[in-house]
Amino acid sequence: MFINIFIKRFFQVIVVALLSSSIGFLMMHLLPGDIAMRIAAGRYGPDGLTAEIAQSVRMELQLNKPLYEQYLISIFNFLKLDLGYSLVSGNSVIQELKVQLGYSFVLALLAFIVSLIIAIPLGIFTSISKYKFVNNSVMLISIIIRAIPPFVLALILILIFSIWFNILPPAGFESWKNFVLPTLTLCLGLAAVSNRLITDSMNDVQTYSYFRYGRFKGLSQNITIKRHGIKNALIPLISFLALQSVYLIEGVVVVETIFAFPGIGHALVHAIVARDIPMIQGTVLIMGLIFVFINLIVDILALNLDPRLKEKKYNGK
Amino acid sequence: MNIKKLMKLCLIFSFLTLSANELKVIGPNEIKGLEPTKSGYIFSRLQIAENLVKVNDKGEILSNLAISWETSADELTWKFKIRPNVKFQDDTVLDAQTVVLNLTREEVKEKSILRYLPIEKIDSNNDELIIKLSSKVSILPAYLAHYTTLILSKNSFENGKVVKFIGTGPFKITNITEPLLIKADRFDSWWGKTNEVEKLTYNAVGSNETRALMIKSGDADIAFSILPISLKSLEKNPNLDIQTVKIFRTRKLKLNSEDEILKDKNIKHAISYAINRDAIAKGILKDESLAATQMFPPELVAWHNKNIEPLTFNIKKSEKLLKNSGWEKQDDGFLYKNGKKLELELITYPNWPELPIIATVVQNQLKQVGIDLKISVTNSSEVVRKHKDNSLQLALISKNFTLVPNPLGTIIEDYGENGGDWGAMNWKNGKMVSDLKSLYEKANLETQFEISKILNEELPSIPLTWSSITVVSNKKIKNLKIDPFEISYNLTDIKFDK
Repeated sequence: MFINIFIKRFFQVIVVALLSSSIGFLMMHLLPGDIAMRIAAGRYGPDGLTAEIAQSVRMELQLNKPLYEQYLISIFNFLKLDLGYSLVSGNSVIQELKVQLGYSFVLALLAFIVSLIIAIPLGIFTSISKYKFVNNSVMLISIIIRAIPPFVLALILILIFSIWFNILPPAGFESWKNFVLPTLTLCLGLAAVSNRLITDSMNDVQTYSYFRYGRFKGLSQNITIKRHGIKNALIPLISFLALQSVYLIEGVVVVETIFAFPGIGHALVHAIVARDIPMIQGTVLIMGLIFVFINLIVDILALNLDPRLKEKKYNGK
Repeated sequence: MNIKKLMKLCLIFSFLTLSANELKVIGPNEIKGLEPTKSGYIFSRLQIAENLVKVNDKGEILSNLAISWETSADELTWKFKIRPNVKFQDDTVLDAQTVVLNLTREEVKEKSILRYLPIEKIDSNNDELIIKLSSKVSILPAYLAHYTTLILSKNSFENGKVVKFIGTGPFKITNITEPLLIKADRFDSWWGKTNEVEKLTYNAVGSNETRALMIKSGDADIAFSILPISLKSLEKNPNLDIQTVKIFRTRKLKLNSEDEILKDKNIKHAISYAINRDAIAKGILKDESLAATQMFPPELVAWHNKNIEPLTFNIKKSEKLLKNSGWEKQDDGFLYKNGKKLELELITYPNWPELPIIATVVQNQLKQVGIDLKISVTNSSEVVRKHKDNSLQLALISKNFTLVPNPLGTIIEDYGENGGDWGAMNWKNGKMVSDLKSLYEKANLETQFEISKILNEELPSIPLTWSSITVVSNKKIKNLKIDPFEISYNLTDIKFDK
């Protein structure tokens, strides 16, 4: 069963790797503007950029070779798992990604976990609450938080925690305190949607016969929710959370810029502006792999939570 | 070890930590690598590495790692005597051979400021650096103050590339997280006077709002390049000092002098008269004194010519010039000639956040006289590309005239015989060429003023505003001196208010 999932995802990894690398390469060459000049601008800034220095960059990076030749070299290196060197900083892409991915990964994981810590109890509480105003208030707050763009939410949090109460640093990445505000910015947006989904899912579960049977046979509400509610409510939530990782990656880009955080989103934005192709290919590859990995985890979790899948999906029935 | 002893040790440790004079500096510039050609300006400002020469506030060249210099009778050979007993941060000793190694690397030859010089050979003789030129360059020492010519230890290089940044400056790097963080400790064997800053942290913070919030919350001690928009809230804070210093950077309209429309000198002057520089300076930059009346600001005393007609705002003159050139206003409010609308395209870039805003103001001001200006905000490299393929009409750019501390270095690149990527385009002026050539060989104040006059009369580029830099610091920081040449943050002069 699990082997089938791994084989499926392994082929997906190869396709993602080749596609992301090729699309990254082609898009950077198809965009308007002179690639050597963009790279030179990224390296030396407007004050140091001249046509002559861009020409020197063109020769150094062999950008005067035919496009197909550059593409084949790029793919060949890629297949050798050689991600090359950043065209701007000159550092190896692996080395840069190690640092930047590390920070982003910790940030995204923290945001994800905290969002669940907020969303699951809140969602269940809202679902079982007898009072309508609880549901309405939670929904209103969730809509407001989700509607605020991450960069505005970030500035609001900085104002509250760094300026008014002065208890957290507004930017940086050196201490654990620096992780609090970026994590909050990301997780609040996530939790705002997740808690609503959990509420809906729990509401559905409570209408099913197995749940009502639990109540009829004399189980308390808490025990019925624990035994029959949460597991069933989690099935749609898990698939949704996998999709939400897209929001997380999108949020990371903005949050890293506001909080001066050296993450993979920050690296990608700068690489695109400077047409740093190896960095773009490396970053996109890593992001693609993260998505495949998340899907793999979702598959495994869903398989464990929903035994029907074992019979249907992977037995070809 | 009993608990009491442990607590005592903790107390002593925390006291020592607190008493260390730590300084946290934030600025917008990111670290793009270790090569001085890429990020030298950050390492130079943080005083991690040093140049052979330095400049004072007046732009005078002073000794630094070179203690003196002289030229041969034909002025083609320069000899720089290297300062003795200077140690790099890896304890190796500075000598003339190390300087030669630094200045003859491929990266430096091809991409540093030295590529503009007619250098035949760079060599050493005992404690002297010898530079042989093929033609005279009177301002050669000024080039050696440029950040691309920082001097590093021989242990910094591997295969001609910088792999460790080891300089001679008063601060020694302990940690770099590219592109955002540099941590450094005081280098106690520095050859200069001792200083109070013991530990230094530089954070690159791209967002102006975040920089303002960091200095406001006390999370940073000094914040460089705070934009006028954030100043109002910072001015009210009693814990902060704000300094604004003029720098030698001019925001100007680069224009194609052979463009079908702009080749008419009347149009250039009409555009200049139609621009209300005072309004731009007051409304956007919050400082009326930044409205440019000529290319160089008054602080650049040797180049600012007080006796020329200043660039002014005069709608009537603008309209008259346009009419003289045959452009007539029609019902839609725009000018037409032979059925063709007076349309121009201006490109600018967001590296300096005020440029796109100024572009929209210029668009509106030119509309008042009937010129339809289309704006495109793009990458800075497009200015160079469009200059090269001759497709540029107008570009709003920001140009620093003192990257080489003597402005002649930049002026000759921008307004010399063939113009420059960031200067004149398809513009030729014999007098300018001969003036620049003579200045390159020998300094002359009158000729410098003559150049300012030509630039105002001919308008190969249209100056809009001069620039300033605003630095906000915590009140505990004393004696912070802002360098108008942006070469150093002068961290060694800082005193802490105990």
